[in-house]
Amino acid sequence: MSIEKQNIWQTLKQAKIIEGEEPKSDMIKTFWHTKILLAISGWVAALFFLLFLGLLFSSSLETPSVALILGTMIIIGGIALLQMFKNDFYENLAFAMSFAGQALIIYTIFENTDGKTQWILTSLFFALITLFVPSYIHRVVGSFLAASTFSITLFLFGIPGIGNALVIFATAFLWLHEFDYPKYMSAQRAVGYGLALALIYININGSIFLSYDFIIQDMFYTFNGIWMPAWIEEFLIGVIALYVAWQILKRYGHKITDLHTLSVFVATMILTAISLEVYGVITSILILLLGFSNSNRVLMGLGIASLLFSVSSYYYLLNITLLGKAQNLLILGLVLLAIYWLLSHFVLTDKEVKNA
Amino acid sequence: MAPIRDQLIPLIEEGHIPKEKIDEALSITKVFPNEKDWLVFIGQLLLWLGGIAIAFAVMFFIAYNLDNIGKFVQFGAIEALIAISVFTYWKFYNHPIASKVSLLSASILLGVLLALYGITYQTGADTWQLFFTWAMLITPWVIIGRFPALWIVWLVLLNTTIILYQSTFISSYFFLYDLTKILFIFNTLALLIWELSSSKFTWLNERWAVRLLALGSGTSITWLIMDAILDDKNMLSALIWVVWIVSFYFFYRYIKRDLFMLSEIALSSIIVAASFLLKVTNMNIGSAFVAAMLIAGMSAGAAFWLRNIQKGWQS
Repeated sequence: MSIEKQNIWQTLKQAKIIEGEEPKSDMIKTFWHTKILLAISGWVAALFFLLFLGLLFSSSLETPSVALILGTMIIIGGIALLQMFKNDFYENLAFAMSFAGQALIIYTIFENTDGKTQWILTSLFFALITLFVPSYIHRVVGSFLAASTFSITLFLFGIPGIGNALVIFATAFLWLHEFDYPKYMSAQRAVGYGLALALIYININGSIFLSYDFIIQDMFYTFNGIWMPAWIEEFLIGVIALYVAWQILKRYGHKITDLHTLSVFVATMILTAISLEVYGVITSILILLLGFSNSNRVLMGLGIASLLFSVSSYYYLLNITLLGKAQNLLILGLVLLAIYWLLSHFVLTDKEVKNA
Repeated sequence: MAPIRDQLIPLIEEGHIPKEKIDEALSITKVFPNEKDWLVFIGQLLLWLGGIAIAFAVMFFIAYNLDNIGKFVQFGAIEALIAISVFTYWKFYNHPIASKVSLLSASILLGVLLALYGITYQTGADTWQLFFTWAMLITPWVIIGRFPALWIVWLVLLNTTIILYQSTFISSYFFLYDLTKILFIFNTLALLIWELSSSKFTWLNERWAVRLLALGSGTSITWLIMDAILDDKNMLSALIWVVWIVSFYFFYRYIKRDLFMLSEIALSSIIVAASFLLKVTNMNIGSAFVAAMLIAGMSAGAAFWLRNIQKGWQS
C-alpha cells in the first residue's frame, strides 16, 4: 500500500472513525484518461462491429423490427458479457457490442420516426441504458446522451428552460450528495460526469439554437418556436443556485437564519441575476463550485472548459448586440470585483487575501 | 501520488468507514474544504472572472463601435487599458492572482490593439502576421510572468500563425499533410523544451499544460501516420511515429512518471492499428469481425498494461 494511503488510514484511526488494521486491497483505480482510452477504443471497435453486422444482415436491417430486435439482442449480449466476465478483454468486447447495438437502434429510430417522437424515444432509450447497463463508461456516455437529447426534446416542445434547469438540478444534486449512498457512488459519479458534459453541450447548443433559427427550421421542421418566457428558466436557475449555496453552507453547520447565510444568499442572487445575461456562465460556475466542494479536479476542469466555451460562443449569439454583450460583461466584471473587494476588506485576513 | 480524494473513495465504497462518520472523514482529510479554503477559492474565482469579464467587455465594445468612435479614441482607450493592466501588474507584483490576471488581460488587449491597427490602416498585412506580431510582442511578458497559462496562450498564437501562414502561401494537394508535419515538429519541440526546462524552473511543473502540448504532438503524428497508411504515402511518418512512441514510453515510464502520457501512446497505437486493419483487410464479413475483436483485445491489453504500471508505481 502507498504511504499516503497508510497515513489516511492512520489519520482516520486517530480520529476514531475507523478501527483495526488497514485491509489489503488489490483494487487499482482506473484514472479518467484510461477510461477515455477505453471509451474511444470501444467506439472504434464498435464501428468495425457495425460494419460486420451491416455486411452480415444487409437487407434484413432495412426492416425496423429486425433491426430493433437485433440491436436489443446485441446490447443484452454485451451486458451478459459484462456480468459474466470481470476481465478487460470481455469488458471491451461488451463495449463494442453494446455501442454497435445502440447505434443500430438509434439509426432505426431516426429512419422510421420524425420530429419530436425521434427525440423522445432517443432520450428514453439512453436513460434506460444509463439505468440498466452496469458499466461506468456506459453510464457516462448514456447520461450525456440522455440529457442532451432530453434538452433537444424540450426545446422542440418550446420549453427549453425546463430541460436545462432539470439537468442542472440533477447534476447539482448528484454531486452534492456524492458520498451519501456508498453502494451507488460509482454509478452516481458516472452519471454526474455525463450530466456535467451534457451541460457544456447544452450551453453551446443553446447559443446556436437561440441565434440561428434557420438551422432549427431545417433540422426540426415540427418546431413551433419557444413559448415559455425566458424568466422562468432564469428563476429556476436562481433557485438551483440558492439550493447549491444552502447545501454547502449546511455542511459547516450554518443555519438558514444566520447573517452569514443570508449574505451568501444575497450575493448568490445578485451574481446569478447578472450572470444569467451571459449565457452559460452561471452553469459553468456551478460546475466549478461543485467540483471544488468535493475536491474533484476533473469536475473543476470541466467547469473551466465550460466557462471558456460559454464565453467564446457568447460572441456569436445573435439575439443580442455586441454593445449589449459588452454591457453585460462589464457589469458582471465590476460586480465580481466589487464583491471581491468587500470580501478582502471585511472577511478575509491579510494572509488569506495574499493567498487569494 | 493519487489525490487523497481518490484514496478515500475506495474506503467509503468498500464500507470501511461507517455511514454516520463519512462526513467527518471527508472533513478531516480535507476532501470537503474548510471554510477558510472556500473563502480563498471564492476570492480567486471573483478576481479571475472579474478581470476576464472586463477584458472581454472591452473587446466586444470596441468591435461594436468600430465605425462610430474616432480613431484616436479607439486607440487611446485600448492603449490606456493596456497601460492600466501593466500598472496593475507592477503594483500587485507579489499578489499571486492579481499579477497573473493583469498580465493575461494586457496580453489579450494587445491582440485587440493589433487587430484595430490592421483594420484601421488597411496595411494589407496577412492575418498570420497579426498573430505572429502579437506573439512576438507579448514574449517579454510571457517570460517575466512565469505563468504556464500565458505560455500556452503564446504557443496557441504561434500554432495559429503556422496554420494561417500555410493556408495563405501553400496551396497544394498535400497542404493538410504538410501543415500537420510542421505542427507536429513545432509542438513536439515545445514539449521537449518545456520538460527539460521544468527541472530548473519549477513553476513550469503544471501537468495540464504539458499534457495539452503532448496532445498537440500526439494528435498530429497520429493523423500523419493514419494518412500515410490509408493514402499510401511515404512511410517516413511511420518511422517518426515509432521514435515518438518509444521516446514517450521511456521518458514517461521511467523518468517523469505520467500515466496520462502512456494512455496517449496506447490510444495512438490502437488508432494506428485500426487504420492498418482498414487498409489491409478487404472489409468482408470475416475481416470486419476479426478487426472488431482485435481492437477490443488491444484496448483491453492497454488498460491492463496501464493498471500494472500504476500498481508498480504505487508499490
